[in-house]
Amino acid sequence: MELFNETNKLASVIHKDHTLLPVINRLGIKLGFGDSTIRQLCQQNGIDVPFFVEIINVFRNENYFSEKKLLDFSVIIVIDYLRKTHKYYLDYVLPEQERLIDLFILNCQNDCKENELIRKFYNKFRDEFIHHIQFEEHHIFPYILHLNESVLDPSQSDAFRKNYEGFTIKGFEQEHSDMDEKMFDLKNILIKYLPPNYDLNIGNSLLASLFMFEKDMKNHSRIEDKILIPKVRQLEKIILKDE
Amino acid sequence: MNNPVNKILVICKSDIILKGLAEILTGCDSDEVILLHHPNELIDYPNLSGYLLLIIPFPIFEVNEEFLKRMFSNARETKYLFLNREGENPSLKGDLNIDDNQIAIINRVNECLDSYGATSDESVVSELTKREIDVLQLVSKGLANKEVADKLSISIHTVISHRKNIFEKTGIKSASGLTMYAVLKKIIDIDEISTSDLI
Repeated sequence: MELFNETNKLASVIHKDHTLLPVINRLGIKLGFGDSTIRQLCQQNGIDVPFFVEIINVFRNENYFSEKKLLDFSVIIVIDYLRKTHKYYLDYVLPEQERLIDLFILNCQNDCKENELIRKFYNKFRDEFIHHIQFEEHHIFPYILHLNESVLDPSQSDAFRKNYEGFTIKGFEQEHSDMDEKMFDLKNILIKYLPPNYDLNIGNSLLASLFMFEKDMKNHSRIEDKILIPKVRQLEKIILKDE
Repeated sequence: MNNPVNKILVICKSDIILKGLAEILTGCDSDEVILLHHPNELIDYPNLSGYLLLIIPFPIFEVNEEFLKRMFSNARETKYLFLNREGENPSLKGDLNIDDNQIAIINRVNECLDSYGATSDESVVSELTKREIDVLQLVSKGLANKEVADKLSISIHTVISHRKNIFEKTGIKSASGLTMYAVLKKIIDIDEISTSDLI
């Protein structure tokens, strides 16, 4: 798959892959960008050019991972991106999927008891997912940002070590696999075993939204596992060496 | 295809072949395609499980067979396709001719993927057996493996092996997914269970 670079016009990038839209939104770009190149748009909007380019390439191509380049980025910029992704899930994706599920059930013919199960299953997934996001927002990200601060400013490192005595990112690493399994099951059950009394178009929209979300979630986990965590391990080594 | 968890691993040092195959393999019924330049990179993929299909050049890499065995010890079944070219290695069994067109390559790979876990009567492979349905009924009502074993007077190992087969046939991974499957397939009655606990 082709790789994009900063000299590409963003309009032609989006013509080639519109699923990047939420990604560029999170990075701070809105539609209506005329013929500007990625570099021009990033400079106008105060966005780190290499980071923008890496993020869209990583999203588009699962096998693409130039880890060396990505490890150059500060954890601040990575966490800022992940937080915006969380906000996008919470403010838009989850409510939108709930709306689709409501419609799906509302438009189901005759006995819908079984289709109600889809809502239950989804809600369980959603609760787990929100819990996961909150854990990262309230525990993991603050830890990483403090760690980063005390690496940059060693005068803070004693306070940091005292605050987080015994903690390392290893203890924080979470399993994404439970949620991945549930999301896969939900899609699989809709595709293979859905009773025929449902509304075709709403069913398709729901499934399309789940596919899109799954892709986004996987990308999100890849960024955490392959960029953020290795980066944090580097920082932890520095702090522990000073001890 | 009767099993949703299969992975294709292509190991080849040529980027042209890797990228070309990756593009063509998007048309195959596999869940994941992993591209590697050298068998040593398998180190990054510990615990490969499910059905594996390896596509590798012939003659095979200078590689320690023990190493491969260890890497694939969790796999349910491992098969090989050897990259071959028209006229070269004519006696090679199980080869993939890279001079073939796209459709022939896809068919060849799908044929391999389809043959995993095949029994003499392929039409029943994806259907659950009577015993598996018994197990699924109890599991989807929230019973633990031990309880299922006691109820059906079978060993816990047999329960686990049934569960593994159920997973492979339905492709459903989570416990609540199984309950939902059992309801949708009318294996259990929705009124018999507490859906708020089980799903």
